[in-house]
Amino acid sequence: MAIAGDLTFNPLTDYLINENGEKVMLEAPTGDELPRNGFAVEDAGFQAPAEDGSGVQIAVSPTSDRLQLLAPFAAWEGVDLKGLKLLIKAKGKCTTDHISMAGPWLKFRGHLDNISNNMLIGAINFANDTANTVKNQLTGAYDAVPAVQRAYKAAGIGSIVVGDENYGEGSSREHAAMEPRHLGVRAVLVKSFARIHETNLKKQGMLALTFANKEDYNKILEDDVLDITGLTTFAPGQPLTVVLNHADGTSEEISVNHTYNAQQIEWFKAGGALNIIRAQVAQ
Amino acid sequence: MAFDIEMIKALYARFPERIAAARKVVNKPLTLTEKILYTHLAEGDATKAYGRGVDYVDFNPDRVAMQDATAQMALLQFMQAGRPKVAVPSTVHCDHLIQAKEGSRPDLSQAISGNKEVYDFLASVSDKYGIGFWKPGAGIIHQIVLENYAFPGGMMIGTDSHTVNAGGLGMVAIGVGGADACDVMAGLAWELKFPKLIGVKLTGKLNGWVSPKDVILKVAGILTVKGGTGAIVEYFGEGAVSMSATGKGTICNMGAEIGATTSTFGYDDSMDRYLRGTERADVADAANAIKEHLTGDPEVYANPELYFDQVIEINLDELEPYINGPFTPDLATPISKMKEAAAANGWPTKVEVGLIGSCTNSSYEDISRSVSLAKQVADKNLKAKAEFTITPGSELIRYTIERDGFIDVFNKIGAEVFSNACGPCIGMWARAGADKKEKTPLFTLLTATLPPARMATQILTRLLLRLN
Repeated sequence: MAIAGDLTFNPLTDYLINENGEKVMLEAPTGDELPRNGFAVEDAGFQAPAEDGSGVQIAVSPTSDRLQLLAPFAAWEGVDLKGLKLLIKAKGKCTTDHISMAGPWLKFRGHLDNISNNMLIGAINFANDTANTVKNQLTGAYDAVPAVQRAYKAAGIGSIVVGDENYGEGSSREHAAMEPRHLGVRAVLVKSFARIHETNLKKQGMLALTFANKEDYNKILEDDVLDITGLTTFAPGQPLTVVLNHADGTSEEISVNHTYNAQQIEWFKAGGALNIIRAQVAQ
Repeated sequence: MAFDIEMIKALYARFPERIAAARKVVNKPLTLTEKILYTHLAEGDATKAYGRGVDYVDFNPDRVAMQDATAQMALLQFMQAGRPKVAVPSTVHCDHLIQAKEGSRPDLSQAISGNKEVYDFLASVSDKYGIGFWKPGAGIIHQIVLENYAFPGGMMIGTDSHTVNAGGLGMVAIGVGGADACDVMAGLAWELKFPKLIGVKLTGKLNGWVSPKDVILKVAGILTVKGGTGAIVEYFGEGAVSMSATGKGTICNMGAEIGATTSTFGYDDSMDRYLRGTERADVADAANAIKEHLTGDPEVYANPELYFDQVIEINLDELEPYINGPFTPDLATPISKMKEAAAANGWPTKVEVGLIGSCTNSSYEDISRSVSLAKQVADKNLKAKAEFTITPGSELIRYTIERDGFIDVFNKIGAEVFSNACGPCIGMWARAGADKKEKTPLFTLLTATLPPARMATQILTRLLLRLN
């Protein structure tokens, strides 16, 4: 076809005109399944790992903007989570691409802190129908989502992300769960999750929660501060309670569900699944 | 000798007992897919039958493969597990960060300098934790896996949607995210919703202009881009057996384009030949010893509609070459209907570039078939109207085809050879002409309307040179 230069060329029936102006047909291709003289290669490009790798140093420059070694996430502090600022109530579709955009950001995929600067920048804020503009409850000013979250983190304040249906659909990109964890978001409360993203949040030691009553999504206001209670008796199949503390001094309680099994609850308590493995390996 | 032969032998030693346990709970003849899934349960011997498309099940895959883009975070996380070595054999492949631009050598050195810190990190972390490291230029992850690691009856995960290519050697090989790879390397089980099963019965035999790619293009036309979602596609029948293992790999590879979880084929002589051809007689011998467990039960293939959720039958004797696209890989047009279809839809018909190779069809067989056509160009005094580029799937392939004079034949018709990497297919292609927005029919048509460019160029690759 590339020989003919024409997509509609049918080699079974069509002629080509050669350089002498003659009509010629191509014969059907033939080939060998495997090379008659066997495969050969000088340098296949393989590096076998060290037999004992304990002395090998991992090459990551502390000044790199593409790679950053990770530090373990902190374990749960053992008490209910209180005073969580609402970072954003996302409206409508919020895929992993809204949570952690691809494109130019992919060059930071090995640098958690740098790539976290794309956290939720694609999500639409219900309060102003705009992407990447949320209120910083500490100052009252509007700013980019990652900037506001970094301000909460610097002040040692936890936060919560609220979302709509099928939150986190799309890819299995783990950055979409790691970035909020890294920047200090404690919980994601949505109408429903895409399952893979829900699992990724659990693995990172986050709380992935759903509204028991989806209408409760509407009760959450821009200036809300939220408490999550019932964590000291966190158990499979048992709902938790979220208290919405509104800016006008009133508050209301809503019931939220989760799908954590016993093992996943241990992930939450330890601050992430890898923290448990590390503890097991150390024993 | 094959890599990790002891792991393969240990798995095969467990096969008879695990399959017996599966038979007890499923209580009917088993497909190959079920045999592979039930022999890899994290719980060990099966204690219950799982509901297809319903139950979430924990598995223990045999291997992990990662490409250089997704490997970065997976390995940074793995380091957090504190293990001295990975829990299962794992490999890293540097293929996704090489841009195809000026040809093999300059592109490769450009990538090596531009991505040095990433490559150095991946090389050192691999060295430390017992991971096989394939350097930039070694080849495309799926081709390297097929040549070195895939084995009948195995289960692997890989951080790329085309991991499924390894189904050509009778594996269940599934594309996943970096977090899954990290978990399995760290020793956690891997969860998958127990898939639905689609059976594709191939009767007749491929010949002439028709290639394995036409089989998957036909299947894509039947199932559409979403028709394989949540399902494993199992191919069987005389048409499957008569096809090469690399041809089977091509079919499995493009199963990703119909959304299938993966695709696979029962163990047969073509796999035996390919394993021996790639210096893995030890794997072939071990597989032959438990042959009956590495394919579906005869009852299943005799009456597939009783055992699969959906059955498709394709007669290879009647199959025509297909061209799929534009815009979507499930728009299948047989070549005899292309003139009408192109006219009716106003598709541009000029072919600007032919891409030979990629992970989908850079096997020795594919390239030798292309060579037989390229030779005719010279012999019949023709001139190729479009440009050609060659992207070998691996250094093993590149070296062998150069030794056998194939590269010379391509050079004679003006072809350009790119690095053994993904370049053109994933949008990593700085093509002269593309910048100028010149009227390059399918290329602009596809990339302009179907983001991301990756998908478009993959379709382009596959449809433009589907005849090679």
